[in-house]
Order: sequence, then C-alpha cells, then structure tokens
Amino acid sequence: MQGIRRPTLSEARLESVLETAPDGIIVMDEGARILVFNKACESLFGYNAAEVIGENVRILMPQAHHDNHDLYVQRYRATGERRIIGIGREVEGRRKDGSIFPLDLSVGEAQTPNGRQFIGVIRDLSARHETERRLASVQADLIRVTRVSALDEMGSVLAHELNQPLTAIMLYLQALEREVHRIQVTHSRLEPRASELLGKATREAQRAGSIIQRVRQLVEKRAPERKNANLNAVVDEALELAMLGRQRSVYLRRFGQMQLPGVLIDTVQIQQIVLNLTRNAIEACQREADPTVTVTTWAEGDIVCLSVADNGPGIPAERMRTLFNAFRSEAGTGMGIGLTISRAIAQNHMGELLVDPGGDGKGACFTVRLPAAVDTAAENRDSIAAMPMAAAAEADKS
Amino acid sequence: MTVHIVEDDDGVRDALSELCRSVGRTVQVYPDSEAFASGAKVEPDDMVLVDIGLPGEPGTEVVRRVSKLPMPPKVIVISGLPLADIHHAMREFSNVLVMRKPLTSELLALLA
Ligand SMILES: Nc1ncnc2c1ncn2[C@@H]1O[C@H](COP(=O)(O)OP(=O)(O)OP(=O)(O)O)[C@@H](O)[C@H]1O
Ligand SMILES: [Mg+2]
Repeated sequence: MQGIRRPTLSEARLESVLETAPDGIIVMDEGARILVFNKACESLFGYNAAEVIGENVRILMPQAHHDNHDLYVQRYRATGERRIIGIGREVEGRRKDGSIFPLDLSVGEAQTPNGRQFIGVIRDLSARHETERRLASVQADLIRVTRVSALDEMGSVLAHELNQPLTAIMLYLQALEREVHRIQVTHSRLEPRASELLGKATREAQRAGSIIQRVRQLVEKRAPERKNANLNAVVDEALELAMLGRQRSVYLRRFGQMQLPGVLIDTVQIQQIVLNLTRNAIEACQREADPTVTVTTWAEGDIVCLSVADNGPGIPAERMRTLFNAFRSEAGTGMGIGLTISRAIAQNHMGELLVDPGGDGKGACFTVRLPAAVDTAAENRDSIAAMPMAAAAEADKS
Repeated sequence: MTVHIVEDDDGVRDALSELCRSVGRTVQVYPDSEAFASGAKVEPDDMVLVDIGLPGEPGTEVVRRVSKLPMPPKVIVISGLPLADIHHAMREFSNVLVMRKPLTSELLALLA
C-alpha cells in the first residue's frame, strides 16, 4: 500500500459517514486506484477494504470489462467526454468469489488538493432483477394458461350463446308441431306438407344441436379445478400482471379486508375475471385527468366479494341491456367477450358478477360475489397484517 | 296446474311458455330468481322449470326455496352449463331432474 497517505482529520470524518451509508461507496483517484471502500461495499463485493485499497478498480469488474475500463478512464482524461460521470448506469460487478452481479453505478467527480478523484455510488440490482425475472415468468405462464383457458371459455361461451337460440327454436318447433296436430284434429283435415316440413326443420335443428354438443364435449374434457384459495392473494397476483408496464398511466388503489374466508376456486379463471375487469376499467378511465382504478376485497357473511371500480364515464343505459352478451362490443375495441366469459366463470363458481353502471360523473363498478368455502382452514386465511381495510397498498404513481 | 318458468333468456323463456301452452298449461314466467321469490304462488301440483345460470341469485336458490315448501311441487332444472358445472351446482340436490339445453321432446313427455 505504498503511496497512500495517512488520512487527514476531515477525511477520517468523511470515512465515518461513508461507513454508515446504506449504498456502496468507492472513491478512486485519477489512476483508477481505490482510495475508499466502505462497509456496504465490503458486503456487496465480499472484499475487506484492506484487500482492495490501492488496487485498480478493475478488480471489481468482470474480466471482460477490464480493458474497456482502462480505455474509458483514458478517454475521459484526454477528452473530458462523459460516458458515465454524472449520469449513472447499470453495469456488472464482480465479487471476490468471481460471481457477477448487476449494479447501478453513479459516478461523481471532485477536485481535491490531491488531484481529481472519482466517487462511485453503487446499488445492488440483483434483487430487482430477480423480481423482474420472476414477474416475466409468471406473466408468461399466465398468458399461456389464459390462452388455453380462453380457448376453452370461448368454446363454451360460443356453445352457450348458440345453444340458447337453438333451444328456443327447438321448443318453438315442438309447439308448432302440436299446433299443426291440433288443427288436423279439430278440422279433421290432414296437412301432410306442413308435417313433412316441420320434420325436416326439426332434424336440422337437431343436427345443429349435436354439433354444439361435440364442441361442448371437447371443452368439458378439462375438468374444473377447484382449490381452497385466499382471494386477496389471487387478486394481488392478477393485479401485478394487469399493471405490468402501466404503473405510470393509471393510479391503482387496492383496499383489502384482512382474514377473508377461503374460496373454492379455479384460481386461473378468477384471475382472468380480475384481468378482464381491470383491463376494461383502465380502458374506460384512460382519458380522465387522473385515471384511477380501485380494487377492493371484502366479506359479507359467507360471501366473499371483489369489486373493480374506475373513474371513467360509466356505462350508458342503452349499453346495459346487452352488456354481458358476447360479441356486442363497440366497434374498434376488443372482441366483446371479456364480460361474457367473466360472468360465465362467476356463475360456474356458484357466484355472480354484478354491475353498477355509474354515469353522471361516476365510473362503472363491477362486483364479483363468490360463496365462501364451507370449511375454511386456518392456513387459508390471510395471515399478513398488512392491508387493513382503508389502508391502501398503492402501486406507485410517479 | 300452472307451469312456473324461471329463465333469463327472452327467447328460451317465450319458447318454453309457448310449448307449455300448446299442451294446455297455464304459464307464469319470471326473468330471475328474485322475481320468482317475490311473485310466485306455487301449488303442490304445479311444476317449476328453472334455469341454473341466472343473473343475480343462481337458479339453485329457486330449487332450494321450492324444496322447503311443505308440499313441494315437481321441479325440473334446465341448463346449458357444462356437465361438470351442473354436477357441482346440483351436488346438494339428489332428486331433482336436470335437462340439458337444447331440450328435445323429453320435456313434452313430462308435460303431457
Ligand atoms: N368499466 C367500464 N366502464 C365503461 N364501459 C365499460 C366498462 N367495462 C366494460 N365496458 C363496456 O362493455 C363492453 C364490453 O366489455 P367486454 O370486456 O365484454 O369486451 P371488450 O373489453 O370490448 O373486449 P374484450 O373481449 O377484449 O374484453 C366494452 O367494450 C365497453 O364498452
Ligand atoms: Mg374487456
């Protein structure tokens, strides 16, 4: 360690500040030699200060960057061109054990009596990277799963939507047949053509019925999956996904009652409802000055509820009648199947999906009501003391 | 005897009542289970046709309500739901007849 002076008093004071700083701080001289290596750096890099002071800062970087760093320093000294100083960027660090980790580095410059010095402030990014990676993989999973189940739902929604008018047609045909029969009897007059045509129409309707039946059998191969789950956790995970990349465009407020009773659900399907409702809410309030979506969970006796409200324009009265019918969406927007699927899922869970259309300055509010699981095991209760009703866990709105 | 029809789909509800009338039955219709709860006067020899998937209270509530009557009338559940969901919905009612949409001539046989 020759060439390094004893610290002066003010430097000693500075050092004591550095030692307590939460971020890693490195001071180096113009020759890239490390002068200060604080406590936080020691735990980040696994070196003791004594091991690195006086060394070239390169030892904290992956081999591949060594030459580059020398170049950067030389170039800056020669041209004053700033690539990192005063800017900060994400770079890679190398621990004593050779492992590489991502870090956020900001570099400042100071003129001192001992020449120019550079101060680097370092923040470990591995935790953040890990969350991002996990989020991306959960998202990929959900997209895959929802695509499969969206196909299923689509099939069953289509089958259901076609099945209703077809049911009506078959019933009308049967009534007509009775009517024709009655005329034949009361007027003792045979109507062979009418009976023949009716027979043909009935056969065709039955053919359509059996096609729907086949679609339904395909879809029904997937047995419904029901798990006792905590609605808060299920909702939070779906919201995390719904808000990915949107933090800046909408304000998400989340109110959750602690200790919700468990619900017996297919979590992916319920998350699909949350995604659909949240997506609709975001779309509806996008153009507001302060777009806000409020998601609340609570229990009413043995019903567990979830509501998604927004501060958009609400739903016009004439839209309400067909709101839950498939493929009736306004032109240009989505497919118009989100609400149909959501209501079908809620009903398949013996629950319901209700809507308060709002209007007059109030946004729409959709509420899902699900029956609580009969036997609620303690482990399925919300054990986290966070999120009391009215204390909002808010996504950042920067 | 009266046939009480609880069905939210306008087309299916009307077609059901036409068919019931064609075999000489009087018909009462309700668009949801709440309307049935507040408006229906059910006699022991009546018949109740109820859809499971209704807006608001599910059709199983109608079944529950009717089965609690001192002399419960005949109940037929009709549903377009997937079979597994029908089983799940009807798990507590063992003796109720369920017919899947589209309905064929079985219904007519039951009405006659
Ligand atoms: N929160 C809301 N505020 C105002 N209108 C809404 C809201 N939610 C839904 N709507 C209206 O209901 C329509 C149907 O919604 P739905 O989710 O079924 O279909 P979509 O969003 O158009 O398409 P997708 O199939 O992609 O979901 C929407 O197009 C919109 O007009
Ligand atoms: Mg939608």
